[in-house]
Amino acid sequence: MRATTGGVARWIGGPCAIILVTSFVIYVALTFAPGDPVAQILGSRSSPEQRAELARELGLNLPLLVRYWHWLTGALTGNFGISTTFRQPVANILMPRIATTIYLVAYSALIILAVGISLGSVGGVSRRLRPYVSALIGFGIALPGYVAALVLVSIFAVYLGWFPTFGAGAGFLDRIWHLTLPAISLAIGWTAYVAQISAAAVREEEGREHVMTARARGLPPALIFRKHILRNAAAPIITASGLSVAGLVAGAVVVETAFAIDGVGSLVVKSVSAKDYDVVVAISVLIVAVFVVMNTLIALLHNIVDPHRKASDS
Amino acid sequence: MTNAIEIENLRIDLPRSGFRKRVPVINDLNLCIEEGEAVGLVGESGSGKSMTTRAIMHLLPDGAQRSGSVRYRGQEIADFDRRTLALYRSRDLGVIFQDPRAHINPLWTIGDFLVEAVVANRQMLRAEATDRAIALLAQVGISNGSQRIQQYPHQLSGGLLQRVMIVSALMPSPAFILADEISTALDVTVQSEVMAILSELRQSNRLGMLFITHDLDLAAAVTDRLAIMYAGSIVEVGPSHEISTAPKHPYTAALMASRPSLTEVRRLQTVPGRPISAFEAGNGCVFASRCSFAAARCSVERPLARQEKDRSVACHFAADLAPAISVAASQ
Repeated sequence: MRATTGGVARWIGGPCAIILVTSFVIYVALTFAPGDPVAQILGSRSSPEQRAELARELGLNLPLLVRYWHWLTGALTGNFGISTTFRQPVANILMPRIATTIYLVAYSALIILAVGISLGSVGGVSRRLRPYVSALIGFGIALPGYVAALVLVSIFAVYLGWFPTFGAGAGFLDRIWHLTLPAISLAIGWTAYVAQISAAAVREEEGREHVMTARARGLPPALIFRKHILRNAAAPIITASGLSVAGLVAGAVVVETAFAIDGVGSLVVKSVSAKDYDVVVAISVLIVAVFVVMNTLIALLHNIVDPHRKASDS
Repeated sequence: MTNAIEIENLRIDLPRSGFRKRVPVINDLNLCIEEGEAVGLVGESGSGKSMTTRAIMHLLPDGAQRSGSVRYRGQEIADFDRRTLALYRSRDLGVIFQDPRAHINPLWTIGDFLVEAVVANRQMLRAEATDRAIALLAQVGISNGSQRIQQYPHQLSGGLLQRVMIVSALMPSPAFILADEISTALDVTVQSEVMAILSELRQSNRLGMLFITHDLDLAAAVTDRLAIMYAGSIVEVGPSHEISTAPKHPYTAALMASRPSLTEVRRLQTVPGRPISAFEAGNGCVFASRCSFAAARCSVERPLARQEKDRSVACHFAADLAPAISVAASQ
């Protein structure tokens, strides 16, 4: 019983505390960042009275801690403030865009896991294919996402005309069709990273003595690979995959802008240049939350795959 | 008696960093093991003992080149197809490895480790295999087998884990056991217990065994015949009690002389020089560089194994040296 309450504190309380602290840091940092939302809205030819009026209206004249407290209590009830550029509640602006970004990130994550782990496994096990896989991985890591985006667009969208060049589409299949090129360009670098980590982990596990035991006992190669190589290599692969998925949310900024997709990533770019603080804070906290959740998930999965930890937990 | 395993003119070459060509690690190895017979393979580290077991399993490292012949019940194992090889490894051989902690996957339970091979090779159903595992665990002195099979390797001591390894080798009821330095990782009391269990099981199941060790006394105690290995070749073979009391090869004698004495306090004797690998041996006798009886002929001509009744010695001067060697060994 005590273990369960301890577990809840550890797995839920800890991550929540991290999100809370980072939200404060982000809030404060943005306040001190150069630029003034009042000037941004009213333009340079406004009078000091007008500015003071708007600042009061936006609550910017209050002390920092009070403002943060208002923001926090609002955020906990789903009210993330009002966007100064859209003149709408932040939640209303964010919600439809989050759906688009989730599609994009989930699509990329799928590519990363499927291609990254398979490519890494092949590179780890096959001595013959290893150099080719390494070359491919090196290429993938070296290729920046925006360059990949341009190349993919010019080949598959402009030259071959298979995919659209911009927009996110509506409905499931249309979205998949629209998001294929963005998802691939978002996934390339991370796929190479996951493949690299997987290849190293698989190669290391493949040389272990217990794998020789399994071979000496005449087990089928596919079973040996699944049960004694890949399963043992899981820990670093899980870490790499989890971090890459979290990183996708941040990476979406560039790709969404490149493909003119109206998602969270392109929204943050617009909002930063417009000094739309409430939107920027909300998205930043969201990105932090994704990282924290992924990290917690990674740790949870590690506990599941490693009996050492399982035993010491109970 | 028929031979279970026959190794003839076996040579294994491995790629080695710093060398352009592969270098031999086993050179012209000949050894036969009869059905139900226990043979001890004794030698220093690097003499090629473990590579011999891997040749018997047909599980050589990547890039290895093999020539000669290894036959199981008259059939060349290199000619086995994939299915036959899997069956040969899983049903005919039982392998007990040196370090159970490293040779058992830490992520799966003891029960899973014990049953996986016989289940994967469709020899038994899982429930049947689990019952057999628990029964065998009881035979090796682990009475609470039904609890043990739910545990993970890190929850068992080294001695217990070595017994689990023995059980895993016995699970498919093999005809032949390969035991690779199985006692090295254990302390002496556990070691004698494990050896006693193994000998008992071997006799009750009429199992053949190749017992790899560097412990000459232990090997002599648990085997019928001994084969002494040096630098990738076997230098002497014969009945265990004869070899351990009256060695004929200078290397065997030197090995015996370097055992610590139980009765007197004296400086430990060593074999002069350093152990060499097969590829360093040149054309002469593999032991020539360290042999105190070596003559000019020894470094240019490889001595052939001479058969004399049930003993065989690869030394040019075996006959002449007999009296001198027995003195050297007993020193």
